Amino acid sequence: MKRLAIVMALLLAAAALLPAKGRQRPQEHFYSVDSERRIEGTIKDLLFEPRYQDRAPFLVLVVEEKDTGALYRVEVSPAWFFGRDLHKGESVKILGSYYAKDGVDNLIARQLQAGGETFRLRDSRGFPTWRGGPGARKGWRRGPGM
Amino acid sequence: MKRKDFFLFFVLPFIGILVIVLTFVVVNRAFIKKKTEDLVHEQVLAAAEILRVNVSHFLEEGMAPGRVLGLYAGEKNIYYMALLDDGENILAWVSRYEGYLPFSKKDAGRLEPWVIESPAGKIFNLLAPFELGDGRVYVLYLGYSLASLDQMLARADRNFVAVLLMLGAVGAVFFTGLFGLQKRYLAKEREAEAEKKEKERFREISAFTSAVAHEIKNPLNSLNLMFELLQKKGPPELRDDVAPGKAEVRRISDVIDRFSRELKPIRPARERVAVREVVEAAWRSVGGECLGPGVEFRYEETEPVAIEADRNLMLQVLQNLIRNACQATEEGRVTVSARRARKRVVIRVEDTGRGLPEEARERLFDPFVTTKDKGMGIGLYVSRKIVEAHGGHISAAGGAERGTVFTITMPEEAHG
Repeated sequence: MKRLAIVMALLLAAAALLPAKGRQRPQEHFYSVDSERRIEGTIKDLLFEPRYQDRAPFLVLVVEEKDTGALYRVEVSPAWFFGRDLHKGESVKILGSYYAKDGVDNLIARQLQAGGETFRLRDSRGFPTWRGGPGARKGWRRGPGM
Repeated sequence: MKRKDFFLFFVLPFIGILVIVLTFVVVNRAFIKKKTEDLVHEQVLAAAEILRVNVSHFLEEGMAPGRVLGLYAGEKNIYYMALLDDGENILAWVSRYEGYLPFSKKDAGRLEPWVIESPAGKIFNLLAPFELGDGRVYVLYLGYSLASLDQMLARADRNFVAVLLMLGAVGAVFFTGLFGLQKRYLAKEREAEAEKKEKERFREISAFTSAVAHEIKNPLNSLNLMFELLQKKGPPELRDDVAPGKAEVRRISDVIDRFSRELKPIRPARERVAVREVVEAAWRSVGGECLGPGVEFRYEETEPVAIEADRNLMLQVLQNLIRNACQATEEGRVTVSARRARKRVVIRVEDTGRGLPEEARERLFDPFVTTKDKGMGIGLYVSRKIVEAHGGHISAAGGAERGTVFTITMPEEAHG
């Protein structure tokens, strides 16, 4: 009985820590239109960060800027949405919202250009394209540009 | 009806009505849209006010800004929300869409709400500053979904288009019907006019024939009496020469009598007439005039057919047609058939004779038009007048292989 009470208390504590259903926890960084930045560089690494309660990986690139050699952690989109394979060493151009965290330069990507294709990941105010709207079906892209 | 008249009387009024309805709908829609938007804005402002009071209450209680916002993060119509300090720095924020908080420093200090477009629909944005009891100042930034308004407006648009299409379709059907009716009315009017002219013409011909007959008959009678006197009292050697002259006078008299008879106004005395009886009577009287001995006559009917008509006049028509058919057929067949077609009776007189040239067919029923060497050209004319006097119609066409087909369409016998 005592053991059951302990288990129940632990479960309640865990439930209290988990976000309520349908609610979202406050997020750390948003797409700020005021801090938009454009970089051009090469992919140093490709990461798939677990998100969505570990149900889907999120594509993150580590990009070295061509001119300055600075490294950027670029948040692209859920991996399922990005309809093209990227490779280390590939040249990319990225337009995104910049934020710094723990001494790391981060970009939340809005547009990504690779291999002559432009991927529209968010609208001009940062609405994520994979959540609906025009081009929501697999990495909306257009011809050379940017 | 001319294309221009059709445009003036049908297309133009239709377009006019459409424009009036369209204008009314568009103006009305704009008004309703404006009112609805105002109403929604008022409601959103009221909701934002309640939210602001609640948030300030939780903050007063010492709850962290992030936790306070977390309480409202699952609200259906709140797309994003942020708490700003008095320096317009974002202290905490929540969003339904990952990283989506369309706040810009340029928006700081906006007193009036504003609406932005997003792929998830219109979003009502509001900055609501408030002060806590301890003097701390916060600004609540709220993004409230106007999706329901969008849906309502989209539905109104769809309904508007549907109504417009329906209106167009109904209007098109209505005006097409009206046009059809008008066309039919004009055709009837033309027909009546033509019939009137035809009657007038017939009356003139009739009057002229009567006058001519009267003027010729009197001297002819005198001439006939003179020939008889010559035959009785003249020198015996002249009597044989007088006889042909007398016969010619009689022939002229017969021609005049026939003209007078044929061109009398037609007043049918209707009775129930079995078509078979009239056809047989007509064949008996004119069958002998068939050119060749190899002409076969045939009458066909699938069931007894009767019409409401003047027996003698119909006999005259069928005599004319059968005589013509016989005279045109040296060898072959003359077929008369009768059948019911809805409330009409169709009688066909068909021969396998030499046929009629196309150009002759057009004027065949006009007076004094004939293709025969000895004909006067009034038989078919009179036949047409008789058939029309019964409310029927007669036409001529080429036969299936050769020959001619005359088709009479008559009203069926009256029932009851």
